[in-house]
Amino acid sequence: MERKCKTGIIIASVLTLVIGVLLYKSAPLFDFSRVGNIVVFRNLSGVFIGCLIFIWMFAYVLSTKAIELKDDLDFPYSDFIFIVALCIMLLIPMSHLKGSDRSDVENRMFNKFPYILINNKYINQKYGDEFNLWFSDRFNMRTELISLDTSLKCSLVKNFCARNGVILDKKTKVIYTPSFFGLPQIRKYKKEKMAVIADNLTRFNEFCKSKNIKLYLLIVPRRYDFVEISEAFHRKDYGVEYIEYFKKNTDIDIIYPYNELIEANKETPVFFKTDHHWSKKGAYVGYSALMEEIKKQYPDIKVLNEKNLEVYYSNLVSNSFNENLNTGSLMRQFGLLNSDGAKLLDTQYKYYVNKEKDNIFVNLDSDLPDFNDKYDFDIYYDKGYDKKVFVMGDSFIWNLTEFLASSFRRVVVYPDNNKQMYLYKYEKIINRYKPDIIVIVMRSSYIETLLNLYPNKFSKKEFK
Amino acid sequence: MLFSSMTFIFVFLPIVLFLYFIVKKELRNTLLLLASLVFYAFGATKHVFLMLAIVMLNYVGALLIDRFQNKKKFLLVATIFCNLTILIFFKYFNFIYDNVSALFNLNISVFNVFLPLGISFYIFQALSYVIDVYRGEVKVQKNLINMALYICLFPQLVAGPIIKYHDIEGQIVEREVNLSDIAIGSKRFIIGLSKKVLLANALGEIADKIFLLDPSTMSHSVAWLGSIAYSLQLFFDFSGYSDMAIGLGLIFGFKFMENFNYPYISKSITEFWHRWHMSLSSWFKQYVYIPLGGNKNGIIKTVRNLGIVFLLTGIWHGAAWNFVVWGIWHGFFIILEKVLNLKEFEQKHNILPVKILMHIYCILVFVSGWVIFRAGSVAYAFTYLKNMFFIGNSVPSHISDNISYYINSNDMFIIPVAILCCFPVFKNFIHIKHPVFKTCMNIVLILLLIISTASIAADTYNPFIYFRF
Repeated sequence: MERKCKTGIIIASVLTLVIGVLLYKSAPLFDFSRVGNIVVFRNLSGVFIGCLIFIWMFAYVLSTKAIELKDDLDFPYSDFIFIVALCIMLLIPMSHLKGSDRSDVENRMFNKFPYILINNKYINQKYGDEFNLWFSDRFNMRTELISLDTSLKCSLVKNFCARNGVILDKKTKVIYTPSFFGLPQIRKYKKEKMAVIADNLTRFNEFCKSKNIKLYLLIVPRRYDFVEISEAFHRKDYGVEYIEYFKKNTDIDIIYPYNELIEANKETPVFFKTDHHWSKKGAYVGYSALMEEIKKQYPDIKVLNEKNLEVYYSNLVSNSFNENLNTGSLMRQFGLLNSDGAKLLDTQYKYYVNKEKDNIFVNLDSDLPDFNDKYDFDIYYDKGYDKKVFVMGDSFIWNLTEFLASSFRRVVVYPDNNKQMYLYKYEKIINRYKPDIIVIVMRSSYIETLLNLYPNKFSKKEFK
Repeated sequence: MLFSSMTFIFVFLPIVLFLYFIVKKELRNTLLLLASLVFYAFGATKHVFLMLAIVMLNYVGALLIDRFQNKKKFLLVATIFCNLTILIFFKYFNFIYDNVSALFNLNISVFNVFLPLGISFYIFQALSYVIDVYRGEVKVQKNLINMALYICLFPQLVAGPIIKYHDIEGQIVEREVNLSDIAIGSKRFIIGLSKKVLLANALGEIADKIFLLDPSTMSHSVAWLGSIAYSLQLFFDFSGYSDMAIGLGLIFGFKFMENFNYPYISKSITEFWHRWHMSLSSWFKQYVYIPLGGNKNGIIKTVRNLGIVFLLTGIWHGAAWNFVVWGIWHGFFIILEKVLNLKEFEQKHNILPVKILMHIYCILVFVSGWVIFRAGSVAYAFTYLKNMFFIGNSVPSHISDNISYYINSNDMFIIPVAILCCFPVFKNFIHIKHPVFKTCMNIVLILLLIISTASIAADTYNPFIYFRF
């Protein structure tokens, strides 16, 4: 056999072995079974072996050609290795494509495999773009590359690293939301807005009174007073001004557990560092403050006591009633998905075990209008206080839900997901469900959402 | 399909390379043509047929010119007319219609013409072919596949360099692929990719933010930052793309002409145009400037010819008034340098202070030119330039006053690197043969490829986070 062939076989075999091990390690399942909606392969091991044969042939052809060419030239070995390395690198992303259609990390559906023909008639003009999106969502080592990019770009800076619209404070390992990015927002027409919101709240309170409903407004203080951030990002808290104004100008029961949270934060974090929500501990403090207020109206109500709850700790984040631990929304937005990201999770958060969990029934087939079983909850607890509670507001509701669910007979959690807090949306539900108590839960920076509660000069067009 | 997309680098390129090196030599052109059509169809599916029609037009045109020598002038004019009619229709119809409508207050609704990807590049290449055949500089290409490959060859199809037929005639029929060229080509590709992904994209983010602002409300420093960022972005974007094209060409055995030669170190606008988009400059020189008489018929005609060439250069770049003004702007300074005989002045006063002053003059002209080029309208461009040069009173708003809003910590690293790369500091690094240096260089290039790929991958990261929820 020619020297060229022998060397080619050796090189191709070694390369195939190396690539095979790398592929097997990076993608043990080697799932090529679906390309879009078309089932291509079912025998996974067969695909794997097929790919290895393909790689071997490719490497053999390339290496024999290279040797042939190298013999004719004075070709340096470093360039030869360079070309081989390049060839391997070009093959890696294609070597394993994710079969899943959904990314939990990115909280979105992956792009689907495009069709060349639309309705079997017309050529899909966007095929190229759609194919690129499809491949870009699924190529091998995508997560590692994204994390590498984030790590590299963060390593260039000393204190703060901005990625995908959020900022990481490298010293405190706190991630900030865009509201802190750049310059302070201009709060135009603040006084007029305050008056309109106060008027809205008063009207809503009157509406509730007419239906024998007790209304509470639980305002969650902003996160930046509870996590360690650089002074450069300190901003005035406009929310406090609003609260003071409402307390003076409305008769609504407002709960603003700022001092309680500050006190609790000394013991354990009440806000997450990698997520913009409050922790279970924070939510528990909010719950206690709320229940203290509710107890004035309903003295018989039983309030959960922290001492009677089982406790555990985790460095992960949960912002859901259904206890789904993850790295946090801001962390995901930032894009550190590998071990570098894990280094940020250095804080232990307090969690509670709900002993009554088995006695709580969550109705996922609720007939409530526009019920979304991912965000909305209709909860029954027979042992709870015999009152119906309707909770509206923003996503801070969710960590609070666990405690409320163990206190009342029925709790409907109905957060607003797009600043659409206008009464017409809720009137149907309130009239139908006839709650005894309504709780509005929202963070202080979100207060202006209440502008849309009733149509007014500041309302967005669609709410008028 | 973009060179800097995951699909191109990690799907299209490996498959084409694999097939290219396993098929017989005789089939390589067919394979490359098919690959080029797939490449084009990925970006502009509906315009593939237009491109093929242009191929046929010029193929037949050149055959007729070659066959009917006594009528070849007429046939050349007819072929050029058809090519230019197609170009004008697809590229300038909307522009002409909008201006005519505005001028005569017309209110007729007509269809909107979509610009086919790379049409200016491949029509200019086609013109090069028929003109070369007419001049007898090359033999007519009777093989349709070879002719189509010249026009459609994917490495330079959508953004150049514009290859003249006489430069590549021999390579289309017979070319050698050797390992050295593959290595150099791969290295050029990685350098181009890094320029585009790591430098141009980062600089583009700064420029995009600033050019979104009202130029009358930004501070002078922000205006300068925007113009410098855009100047650097454009250079690294375009030269990066050219590097990738030249590199890919080498891998497949083609030797394309260089397109950039450190234009930002020029000391005059004349020199700038000898270094910037050289394939376009030489195309205009060979097919417009010299046929018009060049500089052989006195200063008046030279000025006229230069004026025509730069007006056409401006129009070629885009169908908008700011491109026309940009062409006139460069033409004006070229003519001025010609009239004042700046070349002779430079030779006479070959001292450092004069060189520095000339360099500053050149930078001011081309940076201002890029503002006109980037601006959405001529009015925007002049307001922006007035702000840059402290003419009139700009009223900075609180946001557009603060330079730190537009550059982040990474940019503080990127901008100096980009400026450094404008100078020939790393020139010929990939050609140095010292084994240790070569090994180090190869490692750096592999790392650059990994970093660039990571950056491209990061762009695909698109989390849905309900921030405001």
